[in-house]
Formats: sequence, C-alpha cells, structure tokens
Amino acid sequence: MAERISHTVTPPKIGPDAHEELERLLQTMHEHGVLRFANDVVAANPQIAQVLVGGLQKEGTLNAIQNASVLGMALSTIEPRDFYRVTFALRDGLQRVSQHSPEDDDGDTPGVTGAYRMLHDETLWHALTPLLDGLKAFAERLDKPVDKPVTDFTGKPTDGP
Amino acid sequence: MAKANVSDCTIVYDGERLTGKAGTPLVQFLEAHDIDLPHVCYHPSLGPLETCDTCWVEIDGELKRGCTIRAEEGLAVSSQDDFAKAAREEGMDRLLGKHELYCTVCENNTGDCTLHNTMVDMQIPIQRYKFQRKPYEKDESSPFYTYDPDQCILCGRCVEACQNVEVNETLTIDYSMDNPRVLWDGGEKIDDSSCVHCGHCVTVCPCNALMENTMQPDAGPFTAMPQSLKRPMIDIIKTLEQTVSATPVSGLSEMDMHWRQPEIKRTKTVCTYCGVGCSFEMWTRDRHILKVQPVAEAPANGISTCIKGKFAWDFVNSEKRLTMPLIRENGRFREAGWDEALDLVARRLIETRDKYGADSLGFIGSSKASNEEAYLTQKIARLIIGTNSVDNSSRYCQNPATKGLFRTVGYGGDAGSIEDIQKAEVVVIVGSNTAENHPVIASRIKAAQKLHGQKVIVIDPRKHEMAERADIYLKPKASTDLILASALSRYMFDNGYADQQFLDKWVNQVDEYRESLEPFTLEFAEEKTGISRQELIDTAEMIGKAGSVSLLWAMGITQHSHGSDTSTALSNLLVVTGNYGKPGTGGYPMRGHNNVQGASDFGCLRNMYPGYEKVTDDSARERWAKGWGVDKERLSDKVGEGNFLMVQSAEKEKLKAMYVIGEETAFSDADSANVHSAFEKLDFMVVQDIFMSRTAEFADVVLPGCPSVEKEGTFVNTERRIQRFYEVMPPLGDSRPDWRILTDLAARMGHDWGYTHPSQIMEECASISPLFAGVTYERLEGWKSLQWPVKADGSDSPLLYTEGFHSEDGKASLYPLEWKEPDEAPDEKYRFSLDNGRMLEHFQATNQTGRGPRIWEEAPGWFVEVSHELAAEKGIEDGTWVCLSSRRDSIEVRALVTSRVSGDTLFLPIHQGKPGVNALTGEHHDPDVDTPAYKETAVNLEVLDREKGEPPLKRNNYRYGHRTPTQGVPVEVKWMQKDYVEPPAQQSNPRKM
Repeated sequence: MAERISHTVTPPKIGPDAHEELERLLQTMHEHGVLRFANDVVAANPQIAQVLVGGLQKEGTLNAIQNASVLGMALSTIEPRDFYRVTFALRDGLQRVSQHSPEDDDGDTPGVTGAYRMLHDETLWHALTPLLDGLKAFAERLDKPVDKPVTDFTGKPTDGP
Repeated sequence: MAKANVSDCTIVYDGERLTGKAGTPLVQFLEAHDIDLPHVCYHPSLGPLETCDTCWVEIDGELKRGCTIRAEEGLAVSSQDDFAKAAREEGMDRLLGKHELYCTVCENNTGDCTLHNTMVDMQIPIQRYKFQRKPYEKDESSPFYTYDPDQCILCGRCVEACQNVEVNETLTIDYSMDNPRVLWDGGEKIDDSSCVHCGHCVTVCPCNALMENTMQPDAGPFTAMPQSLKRPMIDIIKTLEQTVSATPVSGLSEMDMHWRQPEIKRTKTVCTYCGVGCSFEMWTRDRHILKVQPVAEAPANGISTCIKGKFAWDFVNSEKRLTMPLIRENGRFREAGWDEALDLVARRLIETRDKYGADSLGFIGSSKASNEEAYLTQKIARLIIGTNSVDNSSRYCQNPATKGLFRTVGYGGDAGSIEDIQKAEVVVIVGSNTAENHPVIASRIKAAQKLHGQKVIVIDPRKHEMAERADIYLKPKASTDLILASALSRYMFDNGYADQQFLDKWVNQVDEYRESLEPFTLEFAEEKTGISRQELIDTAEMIGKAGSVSLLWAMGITQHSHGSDTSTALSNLLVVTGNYGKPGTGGYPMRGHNNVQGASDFGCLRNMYPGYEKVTDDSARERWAKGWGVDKERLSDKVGEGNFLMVQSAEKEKLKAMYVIGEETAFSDADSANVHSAFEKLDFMVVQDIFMSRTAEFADVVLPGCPSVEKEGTFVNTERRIQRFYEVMPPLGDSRPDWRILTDLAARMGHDWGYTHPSQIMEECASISPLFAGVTYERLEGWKSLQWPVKADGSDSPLLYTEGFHSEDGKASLYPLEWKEPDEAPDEKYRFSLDNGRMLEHFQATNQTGRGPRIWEEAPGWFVEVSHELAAEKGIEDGTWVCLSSRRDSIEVRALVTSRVSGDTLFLPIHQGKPGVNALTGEHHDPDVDTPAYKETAVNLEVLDREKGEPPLKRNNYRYGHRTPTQGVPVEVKWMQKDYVEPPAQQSNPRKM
C-alpha cells in the first residue's frame, strides 16, 4: 500500500556560479595564450619595468609625452569642423609638396625688380616652388567651407546619423 | 564532367557565368555561388516584398529589384555599375533614417541581424538621412516579445509572416499613415490583440524592432548596461561618427558580433509539444535560453512555430525540476544516490517477476521521450522481464486511428506529408481543433485556403477557429461521425463519385462494404447527425468532385467508445474516392505528443515489436530474439496489457509493479479516482520524470530524467518523419538522460548492453526492424530527416501507397461497419455533453507549460465553456461558479459564455484543476483498443450559490481580439505616396515610408 506523498524537491543550482565562470575564464585564457603571456610578463616584471622606466626617462620620450599632452589640450579646445578644415588643408598642402618634382619646373625665373638677383637664383626658386604650391593648396582648402567633416571626407552628404 | 540538368540554366552576373536551377530567386541563386546581393526585406520563406530597396540591379539597362528576379537562361545582370550601386545605397540610407544604429549595445547583434550585416557588407560610409524618432512608445505589453517602432524599418516581413504564413492576420502596416508602423489588430497593444504569440513576426524581423524578451537585456557583453548609460554612449558615438564616419563604428560592432559568438551556442532541437515535429535552433548562453530560432530548412515547419515551441521553455530551468533520485521511506521521500536507487529498482523488478511472473509487471514508455528510449523501455520489458505489457500514451488518444488505418490501408501513420495536406484541393478536418492543437499544420491549411483556393470542410461540435474559417462547417450531434462518413461513402457510390478504376485495381471487399452501407441513407444521416440533407449533399459533392482530398482527424473521433470504427469509416471514405497514394491525398490522424508516433513505432505497444511486427507472429519473434541474442522462447508471444488495462489490473491486484516514464497517468487516465486507488495497491512503482508529477507521488522510487534539450536522440512526428535532436545544454543537477538510466538499469539486471550513445541503439533497431532498415544518425544529421518506411539504401517514403498498400496482396480493404450507440450519452439526469480538449497555450497536465509565469498567465484559470442559449436559460455569466457532476464525481469551476459551443454541449479544457477533467470521465472505452471514451462524458450542471468570480479568461486573451485580414504587405500603397521616388533619387522624407 503506497499512499500518495506530496514532496517538494530541493531546488537545483541553475547556471554557472562565479567560481565556475572564473574557471572557464581561466581555461579560455589558457587556451588562447593569454595566461602564458601574462605569466611571462609578470615573471619578467623587474626587467620589463627597468626597460620601461629607462625608456621613459629619455628626454625624447618625456618630450613626446608632454607634446602629446599639449596636443590633447589644444585639440580639446578646437571645434572638430575647424580642425578638420585645417588638418585636411595641411594634408592637401603636404600632398602637393610631396608630389612636386624638379622635372615639373619650366626653369623660368620671375624677373621682378627689387628681388631681381635673388629671384634669378634658380636653386632658390626650385626650392620655393613646392612650398608655394603647398601654401596655395592650404589656402584653397582653408577657403573651402565644410559642413560636415564626414561629408567632405567621404563625399556623401548626411543629415547626421 | 557532370551533365547539366535540364532544369539548369546559366546566367551572367557581373560578367561571370553562373549555372544553377532555373526559376530560383536571384538572391538564392547567387547565394549558392557565394555571391551576396545586398537585401533586407527578402526572406526565402516570404518571397519578395519589394519594400527595402536595397537589392537593385541593372538588367537590359533598367534598374530592377533583384529580389523579384528569377534565374533563367540567358539572364544578364549587372550589380556593379554606379547607377545600381547608388540605388542600393539610397535604399539602405532610407532604412537607416528609420533605424538607429547602436549595434554594439544592441541585443540583436548576435550574428543574424540582417540589417546590421547588410549595412556592414555594403560599406556605407555614413548614412544620408538622419535618424528621427517616431511618435510611438515601445510596446512591451507581451511577456514574450517587444516591438520598438523606433527601430522598425517598415519592411513588412512580420506582416507577411503573420498574414500569409501563420495566417493569424493580426499584423498590418499602413504606409499611408503620417508615421507608419506595424499595427496589431489595427492599433491595439500586442497583449490586447488577437496575437497568438506564435513568434513568426519575431523570427523573421531583420533587425531588433521585434525581439524575444529572453534576449533582453544581456545577449551581448555591453547590452545590459542601464539606459542612463547607454543613451549618452550612443550619443557620443553619433557625434564622433560625424567626423570619423560610420566605418570605424561598424568595425566595432562587427567585432562585437564576433566576440559574442564563442559564448552563444546554437543547437538544433525538435519541439517537445505536439506531433507536428517543429525543429529549430535553440540559442543559449550557458543554461540561459536566448531564443528559439526557426529556420527555412526545417523540414516540417520551416520558419513556423506556435507559442509553445517558440516561447514555452521556461520549464527547462525550473527550480522544481527533479535532479536527484528519491526513495519512499517512512511516509516521505528521501533523496538518494543513483547506485542505491537503481540497485533497488533492479532488485525489486526482478523479485516481482520471479515471485509473481513476468505479466505482473507493466511498463509505460514516454511519448515525449526519444525513439531510442522507447526502444529500451520495450526491450527491458520484453527481453529482461519477459512481458509484452508495455505501452505509451497513444492508448489514450491515437490507437483507434491507427486501428482504422491498419484495417483499411495497412500502415499506422499519416499517409503523406504536411506538404500533401497543403497541396490537397479539399481538406476535411473532423474532430480536430487543429489551430490550437497542431497550430503549424493549421497555418499551412489556412495559407493554402487563403492563397491557393483550397477548400476546407470542418466537422466538429465546437466552433473553433478552423470551423470559423471553413468553406463548409458541419456540427453533428456527438458520436455520430461514423454515420456521417458512411453516408458520404454511400453518396459517392450512388452518385458516380466512387473511383471505380482505383477500386478495381487496388481495393478488396468492395461489394461487402457497399452492402454494409445500405442503412446509411441521407435521411438516416440527417436524422441521427442533425445535419441537413442539403448540407450533407454539399459536403459530398465538394469531396466527390475534388481531385485530391486529405482528411485529418484527432481526439474528437478517437476518444469515443467506437473510435476505431469511426476512424475506419473515415479511411473507408478516402479509399472509396481514391484518395490514397496520390499527392495531396490521404488520411492524417493528428498525433498529439511530440513522439507519440515514435513511441509506438519503436515498440511501446502491447502487441507489437518496433516497426509494427506482431508479438504473435512467430517469424517476427524469432528475428527479434535473434537480434537480441536469445532464443525465441525467451520472448513472450502473449499480447500484453496496455496502459488502461494495466491500471485495471493493478486495481485487481494482479499487476504488482509498474514502471512509468514521463507520463502523467494519475492525471490523464480516465476516472482518476480509480487510477489513484489502483496505484496505491501496487507493491512497487517506479516513476521516471523531469518533475515531481502527480503520478510520481505514488511511486516508491522516483528517477530524475532529462528533457530533450539535455540529451540526444530522435523523434518521429505525425508525418512519420524521423528527426534528430541534439544536446542543447548538459543535464541539470544529477538528472540523467533516460536512455542512460535504462541502460544502467538493464546492466544491473544482468544485461549490460553497453550503449554509450543513442545512435548505437538506433543502429541496433535498424538492423532488426525492416521498417527502419536504412535509418542511421548520419542520414539524420542536421536538418536531414527520413520518413518511414526507410529502405536499407536510405530511401524513405514521404507519400505512402504510391505502389500499392501495406498488405499481403498489396491492396487496401474496405471495412464494413455498423453504427453503435455510444456507451455514455446525455440523459435526463446528466443532460449535458461534456466535450473536452486542449488549449493553444497549454500542454496536457501543464507539467511543462505550468512551470513559468509567462505561459501560465496566458490562461491560468480553469473554466467550462457554456453556450449563449444555456447561459440565458440558467442565468450564467462569465465567472459564474457552476458544479459539473458526472456519474463518477463532480467539480466546481467558473463558466465562460461563448459561441464556440452551442445548445447543451459544454467544453472543459483538460489542463487545469487539481482533480482535472478525469475526475468526471469514466472507464467506458473502445473495446477494440481499450481507449477510454473521454469525449463521451455526460454531466449535469448546477449554478452554485456563490459570488461570481472574475471572468476565467482575461479580457486581453487572444480569443477576444479582432483580426485584421489583408493580402499581406501593401507595397503599392507605399509607392503611391507622393513622397516616394524610386532610388537612386533621394527622398524628401524617408522616415514616413
């Protein structure tokens, strides 16, 4: 005779707990070489730190960090639209400069009085021509209105994302 | 060199010659060649919607939407010229004007976001049109999914799926609105509408506009952050995007999509609810089920699911799950280890056999467990114990249908496939609430009717959804279906609709059968069924004139005292009209559990070995004995007892021990008071289940099994389709896959079979049973499936009887019948006929659908449906408490007044209630198969003098919704709007399109 029994089950654990999650993370990091790398880094800690500090102490590194900070400070005060215009104007100028080749020159000098002698210095003229071209492009780009940098950059108009 | 098929064609795409099947949609044709033509609204299961404008190509110098093009010989397509590229980009720009991109913090960026992936593939540098919010709130009213109008791109996929695939006709889209959006019932909240939560719309949504709530909020590593953090982050990115372009941002979201992949597991599984056999991917992260994602490749269901298949999986992680064996001790259950529990079970089963004989034990296999587990259950019963008393829940539902098929055409399964039901010119549905019990098959029928002019005849005492949609709806008096079917058969003979050629060639006993039809005149049928002569003639004419007829039936036919005869009569009608063996024809008993077909196919039947070989057939017995490595004398040739008789034998104390796997017999067998008393008389009872069921409360040992998502195996669906399911997640706690439990138990009883994987069990069965000769796990891999019989070479049988019937001479038989009065019918004392059955939201005893608030709350209360006539007579309103009394017992329940029932017919759902419907049902049963006549329950109804309760169905239940049928997505309306211009021209206000 088996009478009916009402029974409440012990609630099972559902889903991984933090320890299991951690175990899995460890296994994944192990399989992907992250742990090995981390081990290597930690084990070589004094040496690596020595190298890092040595590098940081160099005048050039310190300058670079300070300059990057200055750049960051300056960048934070510039409207992206303006910065974009200037940056791309510079880029265009630089491009023009870098595209210059001596063969492009026709070799003629301007012959203006007052600078006559200087301007007849062909070597100087050859040196100035690309810079002037660059300045021209820089000025042209500065004159070009930019609505949205992304539009100017990609050529595609947008009302915004 | 392989010769090109006649149906192959070669097209030229961007100068490259590509060969493939003619008629294939261009998008899929290109995909087969690993070429991706951008597209968003196109979905292979929905066809071209033409709303997204991202797939433009150039053909003969003209822009065409690529989704509308089908491959044909000589087709030349250009996608790379500037015009087409600009048009596609303009299309995408318009979509992005309606959809805010924040993919890295969006739950949907899990790899299958069509919009995200297409945008990334198109390398859109920046969107042209700024995203602007729509004047609508997010709809979070549904417990299962949300709709975010701000993210909706108005592609219409969801509308097409709702209108023309699911055909629930709830969702619409009106492009002429000022701010178009998807509408539920024309403008209701989701949860207040006719939405049945089938999930089609969510499944096909190409972005996060419609999303499963289980995906939210932590589908990705950054998606769970609070909105107060998420919003400023999105705004920061949007600002930066104006300078740096979208490219780095979409690069980040692409990385995000990739780093989500290792933690998301996608596993193919097969649904464990009804017998349709829906398969789909289940997306999980650890044990959390992110979503159920149906795919077009799924053979039975494609992208379709119902509320249960899509959303009713909370039970898997229920805290009420059984996770360790329990042993009855001193009036309580004690938690025990597996060794102790299995040793005890093995010892007690063997002791009982040795003391009382093999037939003093009975086994009930599970119609929800796998084929392999059914096979092991019967192998233990037959080989180790030596009894054929092994059965499954088909005894309670489908054995009468199978009997009808055995008598007439030979195989105990559906004659064809779901595809054949779709193809039929006429579908006849008898005693089946298909829209609620087999919703995906109902969708196929509704779609065939709506889109292809299929005619539907519904015969049922209850006016359910399919009856409302029917071309002819007949409401016969209860238990008169045999008369109706036989009168229709007679009409066919008398009016030249009998397929004489078919009968001459393929059918035995035609003359005897025709003589037996003598009493079944239209007059007799009219008198007994209550259906008018003209309705009978109209029905007969529709069936007789049809080129193909498929006939579906279910519990409304089988759960009667003569269900086998009525099933036979229905099959007779199909034979008379030649409706077997041709596409679109056949008899389709709708199997009600996910593997009730398989449990029978694989031998959990009192008289059959796996593959329907009789235990009384000496040659079959010899073959099975040989396969199992024993002499045939070791196997009993005596037909055993089925579930119903086992319980009766237990009551008489002839049956001493029972082993019940995954069945809620204490709730589902008729006359439950008797069942409980019988269980109490058993010497020893084992219950193997995933929950502490009502049946388990009577057990001496309870063993914790696993649901399908925690193991591997195969199921057979209603169309005889064998499908594999895979382990989605490991077993919870110390629960074990049932096949492992049975293997371990057998070993402890001296039979160490050594199975380490279910495939070995299937291999063994296939090597013995001719029906499954060619079944292997390799042939079932992924989305592949096989419909039995399966020959050794692996060829299967989607449509039966194309080359003759399953009998000795290859012929069908017409089986003469007489109509008999039902064993129980209303009388003066018990005036009402109590119909009973399932609801869409629930399954059986709610052991699965009752384990989480989301599904449960859809229909939590028990009720009896009462007709308006009866309500008026007795002063009944929604919520009125009534007492229903049968010859067995009585229950108290609230009333629901509805036009679904009429006159003196009542309807009681089978799911809810402490005693349940079987407090009322009786032990009268079909003598041919011992199936209880659940549907023949006469009751009295008394209104209780008690304050009226709340209406038992919430007013926002989908049954109160008002559907909004349309033809689908009205893209022409969009094109007619004055703002609309065809890309690549730019649009003035794309957000309103």
